Amino acid sequence: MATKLIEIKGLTKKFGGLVAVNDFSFHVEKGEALGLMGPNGSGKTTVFNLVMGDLKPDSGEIIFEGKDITNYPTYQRVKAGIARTYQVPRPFQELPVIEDIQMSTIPDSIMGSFRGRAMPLEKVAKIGEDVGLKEHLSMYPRELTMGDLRRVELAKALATNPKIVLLDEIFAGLTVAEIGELDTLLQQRRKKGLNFIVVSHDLKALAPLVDRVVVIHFGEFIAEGPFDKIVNDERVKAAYFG
Amino acid sequence: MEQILIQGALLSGLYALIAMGFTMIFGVGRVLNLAHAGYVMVAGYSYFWATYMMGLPIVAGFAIAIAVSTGLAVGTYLGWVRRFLNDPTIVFVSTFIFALILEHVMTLAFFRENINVPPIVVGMTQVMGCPVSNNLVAAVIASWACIGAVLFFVRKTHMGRAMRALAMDRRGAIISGINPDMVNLTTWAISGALAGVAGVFWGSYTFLVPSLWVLPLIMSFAIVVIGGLGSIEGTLAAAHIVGFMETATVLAINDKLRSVPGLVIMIIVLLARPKGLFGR
Repeated sequence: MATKLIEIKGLTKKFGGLVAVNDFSFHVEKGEALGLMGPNGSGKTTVFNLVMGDLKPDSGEIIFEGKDITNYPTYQRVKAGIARTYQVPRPFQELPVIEDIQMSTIPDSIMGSFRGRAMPLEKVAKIGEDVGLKEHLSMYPRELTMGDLRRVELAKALATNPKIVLLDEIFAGLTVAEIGELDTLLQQRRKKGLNFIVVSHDLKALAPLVDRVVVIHFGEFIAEGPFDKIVNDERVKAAYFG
Repeated sequence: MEQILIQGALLSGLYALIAMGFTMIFGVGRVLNLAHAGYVMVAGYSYFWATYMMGLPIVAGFAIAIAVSTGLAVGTYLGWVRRFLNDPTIVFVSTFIFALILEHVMTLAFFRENINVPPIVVGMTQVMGCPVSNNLVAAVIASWACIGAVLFFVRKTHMGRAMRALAMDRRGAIISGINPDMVNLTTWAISGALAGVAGVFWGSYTFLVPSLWVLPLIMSFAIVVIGGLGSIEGTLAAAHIVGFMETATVLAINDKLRSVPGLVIMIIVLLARPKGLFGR
């Protein structure tokens, strides 16, 4: 039990008559990177929204480091060590990249306004450089390509000093070269002990990154296991190819 | 002309103080607090009560006025608005009712007659060859000191940055680990304190009457629309446009038309540039 970083138990979310996620359970071991796979509309992003607290589940539990965080507001989950990137990047349009990343490091109290310190800009710059934004730190979101905006998303998530990052379609809209760079970067982070849950349509980019895959279809758990085994699983093939 | 400049600077400063609180609450929480000008009125009465009925020193009067208006603002947020941040209409209507309740309470406590508040600072000074009461000078200085402090807070402190982040993108701010409730509460408290300072000077600039909140509310509404809802810079600029226009109208045309220019500009801005001068 102690080796589980995050555990999702029986999560259910209905939108009106539509059951988006139905009694869905999975967990991530400490040190593990998990892929969350499923065809379009299978409920992957809804699962992320539930884990982050963007949505409230109708039933089920989310246990993070042994604590039940099901009723935590989003910002407390972030402070606890869960971060996410969005499929559609959402930078602060009026801030240059470096200040946008720094926003993720603001201390959490009124008194912190004066006494506590956000991460100094040099350290923030380092996070930006690590994800390949060295040339873009003083630029504004409107001047950036989709690939760079995804890097900003990642840098912002990393700046919250997370234990686990939920990556939602982080490779979408990127060139092959960009995907390669990002993959390398994520693998480096993994070696340093960061955990991931990765949602991606790009199975080629996903494969080297994850230890294990969980497959969701119509909001329900259908399979889990190592990537190679899962892509050959009959139920998974049926889910993807009908 | 000098008279217009001097009076205009005073009025603009007070308008800016009131409208800034109003616009900050909208910027951060996306709701309009119509009770805001009610706090201004109650602060004026609190100062009067403390200094002239209780005989406390002026400083204590200020402290009490600011404490009361801040308390009212924080109370409104924690006790009511917090639950309805997703429903701006409920907040709009209910805070208007709060303002009316405050008016009735002040009527019960102080009756409906006009109360002249003696000047906070006595004496006269010559400014540009024109005699100006020290009270006016003090009001202008205090307004700008408060405006400066708020600008510093918003630009230079973490809480200020968090306010800007929430104003720009609520979800983006939350996912960065910012506690929206704490930021909203701080914003309401600051806004209440600004209303307190404005209330003391407003009362001594005009006179106290329980309906004192109506004109400041209408004018701050016009100012934040002209400046661009949620924009502090826009509010400062618009407060001065409206303040000087109003002073010019009062001194050169007729006192009864004082609020007309501001409202006309508001309508022109709504038609020509609905986002306001500095709106996003």
